[in-house]
Amino acid sequence: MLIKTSYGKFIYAVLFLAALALPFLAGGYQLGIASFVLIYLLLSLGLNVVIGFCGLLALGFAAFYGVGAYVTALLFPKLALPLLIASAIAGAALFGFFSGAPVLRLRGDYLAIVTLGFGEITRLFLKNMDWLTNGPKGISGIYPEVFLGLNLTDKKSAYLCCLAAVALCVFLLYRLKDSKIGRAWTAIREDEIAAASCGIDIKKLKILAFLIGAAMAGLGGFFFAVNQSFVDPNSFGFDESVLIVCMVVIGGIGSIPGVILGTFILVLLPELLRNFLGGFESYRMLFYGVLLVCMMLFRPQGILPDEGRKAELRPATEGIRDEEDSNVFEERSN
Amino acid sequence: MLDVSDIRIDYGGIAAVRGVSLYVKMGEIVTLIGANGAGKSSILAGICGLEKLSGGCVKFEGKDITGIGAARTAALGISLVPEGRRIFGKMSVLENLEMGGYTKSSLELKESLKDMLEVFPVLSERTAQHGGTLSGGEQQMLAIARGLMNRPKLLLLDEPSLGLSPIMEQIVFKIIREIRERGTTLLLVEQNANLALGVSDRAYIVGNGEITMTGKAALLLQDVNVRKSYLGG
Repeated sequence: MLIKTSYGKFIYAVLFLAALALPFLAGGYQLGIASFVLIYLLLSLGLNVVIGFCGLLALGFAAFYGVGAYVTALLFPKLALPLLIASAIAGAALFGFFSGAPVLRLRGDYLAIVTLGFGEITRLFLKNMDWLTNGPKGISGIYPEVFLGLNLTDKKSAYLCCLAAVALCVFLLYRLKDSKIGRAWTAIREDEIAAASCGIDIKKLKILAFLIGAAMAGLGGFFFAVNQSFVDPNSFGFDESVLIVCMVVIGGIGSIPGVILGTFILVLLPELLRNFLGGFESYRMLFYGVLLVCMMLFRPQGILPDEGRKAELRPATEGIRDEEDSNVFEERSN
Repeated sequence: MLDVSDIRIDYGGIAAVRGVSLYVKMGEIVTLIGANGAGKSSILAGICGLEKLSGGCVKFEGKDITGIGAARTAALGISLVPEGRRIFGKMSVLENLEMGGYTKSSLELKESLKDMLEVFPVLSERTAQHGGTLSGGEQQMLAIARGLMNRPKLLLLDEPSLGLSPIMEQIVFKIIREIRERGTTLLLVEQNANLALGVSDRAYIVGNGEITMTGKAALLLQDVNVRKSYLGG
């Protein structure tokens, strides 16, 4: 694991200090992009818990992001800042729990399809429940009240707050991954039946992964709503879910540094290319598609792969193959 | 110790187990033998809660454990070593063992770990190696050791000799005897009826989802019909 080496710690420290210095050095445009990197980090690292740690392919992740953002948009006049953040997180986590509990008995592709459906249903609800969400027009003017001198309508404060949240999440995720829960997730990912016969409560742990992932997405939703001071249903559609999956896959499924790198690439690259190619926006999805296909062909484990995952994709060594072959032969000759 | 009465398991309307009753007394080795698809593995899965029962009840040490789920069954002291070993191939041998003791406290875990590395010296040489890089026999040892990490009172072993060389089969059955001597009761499912009946106290013969015959293992070994059907004449 990268963080265990002093080299890894050094890189994290440099990154954190650079991120900390950024609002005092850079202009508004750069700060805006950096804020989005942070928001997407909350989303991609959250999805990484679900896909990477626990091995559940969930495709409707933007729904949790949307719930977090809409909870913020609806409750900001009524709640003080800490409570508002807590309710965005809790709202998304609850939504994760209730959408996860019935579908988590499904596996692989089936789970992917159902979660994709859930994601679309959520977007359509947000679009059509005019009385609550103001429909396709969205909700604007989200300016949470100042709390103990902390004013999140100021972009710099919001950015620094989000940076603190991301740093805390990264730290907690490393702890989680090395914990008993993290190892149980790995076991479930590798072999559910074996995991169950070891006494691991599979259903409970899968729901927990969903809950933690959704909670992080809810936090991302909060910062998105505050950053934009505006939410509308189209920000939480299928495109968004695919983008988050791409960040996880390109960086390296299950690998925290990998997912961070993948998120940087996919947020920064379109911005860099925007300057060179004016009409890049319209080719965005095509670009993601090609990128994903290339990754699967040439580096399926991701750019900075997780140790365990790397092993999963490595072919078995020759010695074992030989023995398996001879076993088959023995059984036939019996 | 274990009392199974009239359990039934359906797979989407097809009855795999149709009213099986059996018991295991403390300290025994009991074997289920029978043809492929007779329902032996389903019976084990039903006992430890991996498969839902559509009828009947399972009692363990007098307590009704029907339908409480695999995780709680394991915590009560029933371990299953699943068919085909199902090692966590990308985890190290040590991590595999640690997963086996998932329901235990870290202190108990350390003790069991020490025990297991003593009983299985092969594994102690390879603690850092990935489970998937072990040979078939070593994987079977690891699977059994992983099952024992939970310090079960009752160990369910599903086809421990599957895909092993004859020498390896002998070693596995020697270990099975050792496990009993260390005080664990065993319920075994086996294709290799000769070897299995050799170590067992009693056996049940399973055919078509039902118990067709039962008795002392030594007597079944002599039985003409059993010899013809399961022991190769």
